[in-house]
Amino acid sequence: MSAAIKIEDLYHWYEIGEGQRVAALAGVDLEVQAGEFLALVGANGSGKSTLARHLNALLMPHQGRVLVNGIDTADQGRLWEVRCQVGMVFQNPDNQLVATIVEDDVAFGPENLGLPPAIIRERVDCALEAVGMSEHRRYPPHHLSGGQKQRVAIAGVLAMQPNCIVLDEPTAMLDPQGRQEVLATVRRLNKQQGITVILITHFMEEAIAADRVAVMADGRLIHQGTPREVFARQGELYQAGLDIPQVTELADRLRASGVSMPPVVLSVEELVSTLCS
Amino acid sequence: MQLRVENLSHIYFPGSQMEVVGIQHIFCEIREGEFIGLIGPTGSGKSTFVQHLNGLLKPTAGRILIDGRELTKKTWREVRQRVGLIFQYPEHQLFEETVFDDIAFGPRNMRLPEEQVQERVSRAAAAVGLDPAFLSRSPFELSGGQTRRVAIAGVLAMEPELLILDEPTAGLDPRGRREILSYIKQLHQERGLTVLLVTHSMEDAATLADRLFVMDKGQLVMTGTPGEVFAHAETLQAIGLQIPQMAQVLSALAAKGLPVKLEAYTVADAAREILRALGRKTGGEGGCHS
Repeated sequence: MSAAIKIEDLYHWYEIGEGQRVAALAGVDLEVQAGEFLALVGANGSGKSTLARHLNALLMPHQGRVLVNGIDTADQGRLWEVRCQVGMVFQNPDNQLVATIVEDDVAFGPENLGLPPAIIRERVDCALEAVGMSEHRRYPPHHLSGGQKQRVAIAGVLAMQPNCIVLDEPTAMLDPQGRQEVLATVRRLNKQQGITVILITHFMEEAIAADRVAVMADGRLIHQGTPREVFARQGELYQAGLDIPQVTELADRLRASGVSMPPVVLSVEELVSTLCS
Repeated sequence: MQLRVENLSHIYFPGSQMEVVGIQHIFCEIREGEFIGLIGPTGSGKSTFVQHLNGLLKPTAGRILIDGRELTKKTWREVRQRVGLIFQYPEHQLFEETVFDDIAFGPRNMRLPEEQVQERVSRAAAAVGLDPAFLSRSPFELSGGQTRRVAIAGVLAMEPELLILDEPTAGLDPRGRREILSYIKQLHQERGLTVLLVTHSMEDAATLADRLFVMDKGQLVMTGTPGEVFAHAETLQAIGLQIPQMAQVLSALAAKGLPVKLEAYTVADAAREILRALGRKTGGEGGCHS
């Protein structure tokens, strides 16, 4: 695997008043391999969203650099290339859908690329198929559920044929089914189409779906590893304002009471099969 | 405060091409001091419903009775002080220069003397754990979790008897969620505030509420204690909801033959229940059939 994204010693400051500034990112080093599924977790204000906005050049490094498939995001001449390679999906689906019909919304990006109509058609159809929304292509977006809207937003990004998708809390406003739909869609795109995924989330249950979890606190990357490695560090996570999945906590309690358990349990199935083996 | 909803319906844009049924034929009751959890998929009518309870929306049909008196044009002003409604992302509605002024906005509107306003502001700020040092700062300098508290304090300063919260923890990190919910729980327990919490988290609904209202397609389809409601896993799944994660663990274990009771929703309760069942198992009987 090669690095889809390489972040080197990245700093970003926000001005908070006359001559005062606060570091939103304070020296972040992170590499994301092509085809990897990375979950990025951290408390509100830890710098996750600022980091995400560096990945498709919505923000520019104040120090350090960000490489997308080897392209420096600070290279103004190649800005468009970077934006085409990294698609972004945000929290509120209502702020991302612009057209009155689902398929027009998905076509918005490719149309802006000035592609021929037949190619646009093909891309829109493929993208809607990939998120399981083909049947709704003639619907007005406001008739869709929250999860469906987010899937359309993802389709809009897919139609640009990015190598990498960055999702910034895409499920924060969704009901349980919407959350499952979005997560399943993201997983499928990662596994079947090999798209690199960076998922920012406050739901620890979602982070366990990732290959790797990176934990941020105060603008720094404080820990990274497989979900199993990361969720073994309950104390550190708690201190960073985070949590471990409930089922992991349950297994920890049972182990503390003398029930034999593997070091980290991540799913209901795993817990049940451990108890009933 | 006692609240009764009788055959409440709301139709958006009636008579036009855009006509949409928001909610339909809702009957329910919220008793003094109760903690109600309102769950339902996106678009099921939860927000439409709660906006009727403080007179923000007028019923197309049906009525709302507060302590036996019907909510009408004449009474909504009074009701709006007694029923506090906190919207989703309430921090988007902050606008004053200081945190203090923002929280004081409601009480000042009620034309309370400044002394009482001050008292209410400090009480409300304390109730949501806001550091008094923040009161003189601009709300826009605070973190996401802190601005959310300012917005909630602004409603609390009106000293409502019924507090309605529409997804108060959306977008907050786990610590922010834990803290906000524990303050709400405290307000309920210590001040006897009646609470209606709209939430997408089945875990929060199960652990906090005395009773649950379940909405789907504009209708109230189920009410009952968490135990009663979450016993209908399949019905809930069909409308896009789930049972809480701990209940999922327990019912999976029960299906394997471990004699656990299903009604435990916190991690601590579930652990206790499993240990109890395993204890019985080592005593000889039960266990999983594998």
